[in-house]
Amino acid sequence: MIAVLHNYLVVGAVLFTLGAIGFLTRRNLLLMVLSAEMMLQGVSLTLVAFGRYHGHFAGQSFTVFVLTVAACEAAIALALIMMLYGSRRTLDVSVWRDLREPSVEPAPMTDPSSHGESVEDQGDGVATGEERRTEVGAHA
Amino acid sequence: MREALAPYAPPPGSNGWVVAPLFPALVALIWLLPRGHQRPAWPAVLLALASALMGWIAWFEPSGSSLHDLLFSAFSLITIGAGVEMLRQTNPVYAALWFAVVILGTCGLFLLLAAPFLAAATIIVYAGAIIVTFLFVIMLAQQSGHASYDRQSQSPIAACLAAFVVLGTLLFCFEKTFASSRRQQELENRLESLDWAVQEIDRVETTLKSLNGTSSVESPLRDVLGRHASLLAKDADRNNALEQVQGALGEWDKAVVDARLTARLANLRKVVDDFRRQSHQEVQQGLLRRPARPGQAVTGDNYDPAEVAGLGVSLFGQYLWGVEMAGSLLMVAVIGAIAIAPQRAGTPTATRPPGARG
Repeated sequence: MIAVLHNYLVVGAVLFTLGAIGFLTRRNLLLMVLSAEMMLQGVSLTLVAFGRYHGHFAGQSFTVFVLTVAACEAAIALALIMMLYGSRRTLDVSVWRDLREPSVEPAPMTDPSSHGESVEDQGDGVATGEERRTEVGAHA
Repeated sequence: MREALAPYAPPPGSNGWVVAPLFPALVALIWLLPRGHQRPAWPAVLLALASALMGWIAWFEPSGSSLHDLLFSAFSLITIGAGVEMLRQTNPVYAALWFAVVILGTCGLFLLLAAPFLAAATIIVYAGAIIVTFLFVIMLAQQSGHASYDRQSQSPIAACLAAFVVLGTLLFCFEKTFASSRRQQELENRLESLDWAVQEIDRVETTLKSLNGTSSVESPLRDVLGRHASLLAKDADRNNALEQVQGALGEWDKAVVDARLTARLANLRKVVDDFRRQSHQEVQQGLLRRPARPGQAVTGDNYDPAEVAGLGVSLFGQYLWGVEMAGSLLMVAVIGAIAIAPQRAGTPTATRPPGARG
């Protein structure tokens, strides 16, 4: 069998990039995890192509490990998502913005349909930020 | 400065135009990502097809087997098309199913890369287990109808720009490094023949010394070889060094009158030429695989790359420790997932009642 390394590297890079775009743009927690899995697929393809190029099995062995880690990641991620869904009843990742540091302002979301939620969130953030500031002022 | 940077300059064949197909693809992807309102898809589809065609022209290297090329093109088109389709779906169930198509396309590419075990394992693990679990969770957690967060993507333009900058850089580096793999292979072969030629020259030289006991012919050759011994250390100069040594050989050829030496030099040159022609033929056939080294049974190098036995020997020989670690990781992950997952509402041991604000 004949294989040209460069072609497979290009496809792997494109898959990786598509996964990255999905991870950045999707707001559904589940689809973000799926996009991360797509990035792993791109990496696996690159590993196998390199192993084929060098004529040994290191690439395939590493891909088996990537597969294992992907399965672990999916299990943990799904458990976490179920837990998050249980507490907020939504899969929207922007609901969990208050995991950020309290003093850092988030960029306002430009989504008209979920306007109420984001405004509420920003209110929370501002409030905690104010609290932090007053605390610091009291200490000073 | 210029000389110091010379090894990093792109080879003469490549230029920045390899990233040109990315621009229509970028526009098409930004157009296709969900933005909250319906848009006709056909302009983006046309743009994407055009960029796929451009990409095929710019990046594809024929392997010499038209069947392999056809299968590769089909599988990669399926994979990338399903990936784009997964990004633009507003229904997460459909997105998960398109991801299954991505997995199937990747498995086809694995088969083309002579990795049948991985193809089967990936289908079983991903399409069989992970996607089904995802679908279960989607069914459990999905609200009725399309959720607002699925209909609108988060800063699509900035994300696409950033990702495509990364992709362009990657593709440019691949073009620079691996599209010239033929040239690299040729260079390696030339270096081997050059080493052999240097040894042969040494041998001829000692013969010459023993013949007439003088070192009249020796000094110019010694100079040349000494000067190029350092050049040989640098990859970029191998070609140059080979040419200069060959030039020196030609000069030396004229200087030496002994018929035996001339015959031996002709032989040497013939061997070098044969070597180069043979390596050139190998390169032209696209045989990019290096020959397996003998006596390395534990890495699976003695096996044909398409054989599953080699993968087993490699996994349970060279990477046994890694396999053990992966197994432990799986067990820890399963325990962690069970510990994290929310308990059922009626269970008395439930520490986190559903609906509680975290």
